[in-house]
Amino acid sequence: MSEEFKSKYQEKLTSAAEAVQMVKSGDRVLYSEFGLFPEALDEALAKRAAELRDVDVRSVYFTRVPKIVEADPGQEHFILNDYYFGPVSRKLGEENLCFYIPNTYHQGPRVLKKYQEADVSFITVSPMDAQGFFNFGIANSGTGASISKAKIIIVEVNENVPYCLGGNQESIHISRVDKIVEGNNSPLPDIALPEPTEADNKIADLLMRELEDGCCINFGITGLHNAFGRRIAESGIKDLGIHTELLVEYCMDLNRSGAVTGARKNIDKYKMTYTFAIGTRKLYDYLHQNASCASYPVNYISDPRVIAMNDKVFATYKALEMDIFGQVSSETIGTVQKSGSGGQLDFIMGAFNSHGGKGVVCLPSTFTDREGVVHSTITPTMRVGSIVTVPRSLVQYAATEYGVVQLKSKSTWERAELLVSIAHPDFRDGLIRAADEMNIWVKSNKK
Amino acid sequence: MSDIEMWEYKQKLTTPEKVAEMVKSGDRLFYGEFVLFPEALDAALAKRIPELYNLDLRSVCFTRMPQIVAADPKREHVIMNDYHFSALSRKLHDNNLCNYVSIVYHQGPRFIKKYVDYDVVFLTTSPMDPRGYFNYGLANSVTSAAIAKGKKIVIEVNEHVPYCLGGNQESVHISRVDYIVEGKNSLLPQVPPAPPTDTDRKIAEHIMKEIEDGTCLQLGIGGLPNVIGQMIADSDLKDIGIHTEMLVDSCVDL
Repeated sequence: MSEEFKSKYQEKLTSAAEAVQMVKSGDRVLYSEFGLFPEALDEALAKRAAELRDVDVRSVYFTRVPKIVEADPGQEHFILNDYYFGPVSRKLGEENLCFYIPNTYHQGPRVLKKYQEADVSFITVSPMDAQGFFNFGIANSGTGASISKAKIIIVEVNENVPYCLGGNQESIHISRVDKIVEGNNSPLPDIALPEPTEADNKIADLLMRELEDGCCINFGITGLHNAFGRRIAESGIKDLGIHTELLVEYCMDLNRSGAVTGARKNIDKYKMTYTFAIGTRKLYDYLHQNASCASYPVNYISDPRVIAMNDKVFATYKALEMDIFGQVSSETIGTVQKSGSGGQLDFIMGAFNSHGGKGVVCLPSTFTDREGVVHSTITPTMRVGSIVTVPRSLVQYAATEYGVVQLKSKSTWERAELLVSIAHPDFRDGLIRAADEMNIWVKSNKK
Repeated sequence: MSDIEMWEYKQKLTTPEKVAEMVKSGDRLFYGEFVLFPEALDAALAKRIPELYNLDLRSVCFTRMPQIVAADPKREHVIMNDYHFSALSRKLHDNNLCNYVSIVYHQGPRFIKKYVDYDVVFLTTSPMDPRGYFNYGLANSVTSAAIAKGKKIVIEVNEHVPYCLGGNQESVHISRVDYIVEGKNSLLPQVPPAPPTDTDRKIAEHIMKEIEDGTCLQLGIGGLPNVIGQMIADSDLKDIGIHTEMLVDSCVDL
């Protein structure tokens, strides 16, 4: 490390308690995203709860319950908002302690640059490198954009943060940093993919019939992707590429086994490109200084135009509800926010525009409510309050455990027939009656 | 016009009745979009409707009642579908006589090329030009994609269709056409803009505050876009650009 950077580092180094003195009432504070939760700064800010008012805190996918929220159960001092809405935010949302900021993921950085000033940005980073850079590549996403709009930038160093190669905007130079805090060096959160359900396994079997050598795939934090990854590993499929919002452990395993080479990608050849990574220590260790991966901001990864530059993009996303017109909700049940839009819309659009590309919205055909009643996830019309994540005009393929159907170019009566054909058999007659009543069932359907 | 094109024109010239004879049960039909409705071909085909089954008719924004649908009030012969619901399609849908094909407009040509085949494409065009081109630039849209995926391309010439310069794919060369019919030369449908309401005027006043010199405009049809167009015409705004799905009377005024 050069003497120049060393002395700059010492000049800017301070304690978390000192650093958070820069936050004032009425400020907007950005917390770093996903696994890079700024733990020490959050703790220190929480201690100041009583003296602060109207502090607006935003992040992308809180992986921990912020101490500022625990310190302020009446929401009198802080308002918490999440651009992505993972399980932590969902739970806080149910208690009316966290709000969702609707966005289609690739537009996030542009939204920030156009419309959102921030007063203070807290960013968890790796230790400074020899050239004076701090790395945040496992949560690249909108961080570069938020840094460009923040008046004060405070980094919280954590030795456990891997140094992820980019791409671009995966790190920040010390010259752009106002204060440096050395944190608690807590391990990054361990988040494994959920275990697949029986429906996930069946859908994954159907997806495997559509997947070919040379496809460019993505992953999500779902049981379905767990089932899908397992099957790919066992399949003998070759030369897959990875261009994904989320990098998971399967990417590492499939790259090591030779199933993923990236050799047929048109852009970022031989690289697995991603905008954030979530997994266990194994994945974070793998990512450290690893040239097989490149971390990019989400305005690159999830831009439908960029996605479409690779051929045979095979994009898979999970949904909660779909009506027989083809509208998809992946984020709410009624008005209850369950998750976020993420890049689902981006990737479904991008896959359609890719040569040979397929964008598949996947959902189990039924769900069981808290009272034990089984419902069809395919409905005549969306439940009251349900939010559309993918409009019917943009949806391409839909999959349940009963099949995969292509909806593009299909008239309303054709869509109804196709979607009824993949609904759970117990609900098909009811859906047909509803279709008939809504004038989207014609003579040809009755054959 | 060169002799070759004229010779080809005569070879391909036929009557609507003869074209209608070529349509088979189960065929997928595409009609010229918006105001380029193929009136004579439709009327001839309507006479054959009792003997045809499972026809699938598609177009973008029907501006005239298809006679083949009028001839089949119980929807036993033709299923009509529209990629962009017009007032007419809306009324037909209420009577269960028309369905909507959901699209995001710019993806239309791509999904037609990927997933749709037409057996017969009926297009209304301007008369052939000296180089052998028939123009449909007034309804360019997805027409060229339909031609690319059509097995049989039939042109219905109408002298009232203006010759619109492109861009691209605003016309089709005679070598790509299978048959030509000379239509009734009906006037194209005129769709005058609706008069603005008071609410339209108030919204337009707010919109005007957002428009600056050099703004690139998109104007649709209806009272509101029309009054915005008027207000721009009356303002000192300069160097406005137009990049729009739909070109309307206001664009001419501006």
